[in-house]
Amino acid sequence: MKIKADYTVSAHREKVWEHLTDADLLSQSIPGCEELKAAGNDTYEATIKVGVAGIKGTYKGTVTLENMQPPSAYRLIVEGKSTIGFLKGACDFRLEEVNSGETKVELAGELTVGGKLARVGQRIIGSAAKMTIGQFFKQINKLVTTDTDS
Amino acid sequence: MATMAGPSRLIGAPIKRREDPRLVQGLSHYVDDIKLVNTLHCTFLRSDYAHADIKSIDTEAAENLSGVVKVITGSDIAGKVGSIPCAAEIEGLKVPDHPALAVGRVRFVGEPIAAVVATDPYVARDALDLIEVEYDELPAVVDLDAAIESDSTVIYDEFDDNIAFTMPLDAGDVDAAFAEADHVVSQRFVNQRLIPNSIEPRGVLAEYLPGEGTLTVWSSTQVPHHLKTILSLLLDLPEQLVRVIAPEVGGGFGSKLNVYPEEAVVAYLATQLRKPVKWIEKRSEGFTTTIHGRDQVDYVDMAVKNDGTITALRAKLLANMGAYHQLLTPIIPVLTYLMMPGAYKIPNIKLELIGVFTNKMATDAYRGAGRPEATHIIERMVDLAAQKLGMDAKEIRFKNFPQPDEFPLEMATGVTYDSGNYQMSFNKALDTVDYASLRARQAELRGQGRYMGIGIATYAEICGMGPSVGVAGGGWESSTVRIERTGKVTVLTGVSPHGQGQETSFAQIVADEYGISIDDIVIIHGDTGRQPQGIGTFGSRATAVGGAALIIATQQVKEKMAQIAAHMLEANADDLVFEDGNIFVQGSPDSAVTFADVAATAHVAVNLPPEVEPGLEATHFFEPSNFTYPFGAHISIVEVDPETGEIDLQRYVAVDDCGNIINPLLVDGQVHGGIAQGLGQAMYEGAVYDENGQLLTGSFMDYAIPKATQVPRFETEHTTTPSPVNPLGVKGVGEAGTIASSPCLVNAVVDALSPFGITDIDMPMTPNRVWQAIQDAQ
Repeated sequence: MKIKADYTVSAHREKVWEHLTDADLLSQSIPGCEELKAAGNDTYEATIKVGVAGIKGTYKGTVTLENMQPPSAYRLIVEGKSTIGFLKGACDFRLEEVNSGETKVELAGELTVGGKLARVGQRIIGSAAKMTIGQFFKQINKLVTTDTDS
Repeated sequence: MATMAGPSRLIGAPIKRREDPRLVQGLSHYVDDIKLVNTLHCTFLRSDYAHADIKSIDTEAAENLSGVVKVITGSDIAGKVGSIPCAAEIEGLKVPDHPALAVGRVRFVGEPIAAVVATDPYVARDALDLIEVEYDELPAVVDLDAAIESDSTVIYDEFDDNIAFTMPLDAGDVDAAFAEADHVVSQRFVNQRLIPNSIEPRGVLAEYLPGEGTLTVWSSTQVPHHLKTILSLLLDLPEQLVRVIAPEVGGGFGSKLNVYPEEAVVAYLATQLRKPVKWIEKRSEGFTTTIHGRDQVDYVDMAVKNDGTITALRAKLLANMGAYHQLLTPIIPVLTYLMMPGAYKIPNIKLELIGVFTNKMATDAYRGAGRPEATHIIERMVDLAAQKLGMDAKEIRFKNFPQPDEFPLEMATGVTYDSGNYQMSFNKALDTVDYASLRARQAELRGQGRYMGIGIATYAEICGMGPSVGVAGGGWESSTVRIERTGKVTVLTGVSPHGQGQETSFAQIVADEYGISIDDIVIIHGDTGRQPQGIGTFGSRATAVGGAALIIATQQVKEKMAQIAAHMLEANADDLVFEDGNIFVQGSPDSAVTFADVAATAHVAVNLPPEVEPGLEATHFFEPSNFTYPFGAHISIVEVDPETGEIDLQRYVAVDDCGNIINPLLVDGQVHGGIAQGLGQAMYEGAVYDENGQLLTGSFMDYAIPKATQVPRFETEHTTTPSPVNPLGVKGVGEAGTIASSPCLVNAVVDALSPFGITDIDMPMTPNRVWQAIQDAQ
């Protein structure tokens, strides 16, 4: 499944970059994130709770950031498995300062799911993913705007 | 003895099903209702990947869960549980090893990898979450056309490609016929994959008694006798000590005409753990791992003359096998191949049938099994040809029907149709709908910008699965008739009804022959311990083959009864009639002996005629001389809303000729259910896998089967053309409705949309697809 979206965050690009690539801040922003800890080389071990269409599971896996071009672009790779199946995806993030103090983040990638989640939830996985990413950026936005002085 | 029974009272009568009271009161026993003391519960861990190497399986945490008794994987049972068998015998067929639990590699989503046994079913389920499997994903082969390209991933290392078999046919002179044709019509058809979804999922309970060495298996199966034989081979147990019981079975539609990994594993675990082991399939498991139906892509050309004569048919049929062969997987599209000409005399036929492995669940027999695909192809092609010629869909059919006196009729595909009168059934259907005025009404509505369509399917199918030369595993059937000392009659049949109603229809056959009440007859089925020999219920064969065995066994016992009665009456056995529970000399009903008295005499055995043995029992094995070929004409009337693509199915008329009818209620029930299932394929159903081989339609939220509000009131009629291949003259009707209805409905919708220049539409004809076809045509 293809993912394509963009969000505007009310902060300078460097600030947004910092938030998007910081493990602590990420773990506070990813919906359902129970744990995200650095495992070296821009790789993190993650435990994330996911619930779609009445199917709930806790995915354990890795999040890797690649092709880091601060502060404008990077690639995020996720791989995880749970009792409701597996998921894997790769997504390119592009950050662009559109107005002074506003950054547009564009996402383009692909998500693959397997197992029970695919059988039962696939129909609404697109909208669920969109909602989850929306929540993520809402939280990022909240964190960057309350954190303007740091 | 007078071979004629008394006045026929029950054969042909609409007797209500004797099965129904226990079913509607919830008094039946399905596999899950059978409770044995100390039963352990089994669950299966299944692959989330369509194609992957298994790097490791860690079962330790699951084994340590309280209540878990045993966890096994493929390597634990290698060499102990044999490969799940395929009965097909096709030249050059590739038959891959099919382990009951995957070893090293998985090849479809849902493939069983490990089995857990626990004291509690919920613990067994929870333990699955604790098994860790590491996979190395491989590219999945999912598309039928792409799977046979040279650059495709090959699923089996031991084979060069994904082609399981090819079967060619070249009858007559096809090239010349095409060269001389006035018109050629060509079409690609997708016969989409379907999921059977019987109301009762599969289930197995197995009990092994180590002292006696007996294994008893209760399974929701259509073929307990095959299962008994195969389990004894898979587990290396003496066949005489294996008993399979199919208790009440809540439907199968062919999906339980099989031997599944779960049956082998559960039986194996029972022998090892020496306690009863039970597995009940969840609906979500059924979607992924009970066989699927259909799934063909067909490329077809037809040569026609200006007068509508069809001179040749040429086709390449790609049939999706799935990842492994189940019991009959490769045989199903062979039925498509054999029935390609349908109800028409087509002298020149060239076919190439290609069975293809993909990373999907196996296909196998699903109601109609190969014939809905053939009927779809030929009935659509005939309409396409008529459309091209500007000929009425009715005329082209009459033009190409064989005449009634041409039967038995050998077809170019090598089969011989037993009997038929296609004109009679078609005329009856045309009269029922008043075809001429329907066409006038259609023209009138078109003038108003409304899109009414008339769909026709005049089908011929193959069923009554027998003789043995044409049916893997045997095409005969057996029946035992025993008259008890009290005069009650026990019938033991090798067929295994699971909704068809033979407890009623078979009793009607016996009651008529003996002139006794239907209430004095019990039909026992589905238990290899009581009726050791049998084949089972599938392919619309139970009455045509099993009923034939029954009538002959019934008559054999009757002959012996007549000898005993003649001795008692001091009469000639040839002069006796059986009527109203009495046996008497024709014309002298006042000096009769009762049926029960004669039974008692046979058992007490002190007043028997010389040379007559005690007891009243006979077993007959019936081997039919040919398959049967039912036929008929279905007509549907639809109106399509071009704004929404919605189809309003207004009328459905089915005229079926299934030979003689034992019970018209049962026949109509079969036709109703069959049409509903064909309508499901035509309008709603379709199994969808994504490009990675994930099943996207894994629940009833995404896989739509028709609801009661979505089917019209069916109008059913019959013509009767007896079959010459069995003594009852019956043909079988279990699948006719499914076979005729999907092309009938597609023909109706295409007819409705023909003003747009639309010539074909893929199934399921969802509103979106219909709307899109209209947009594309404009």
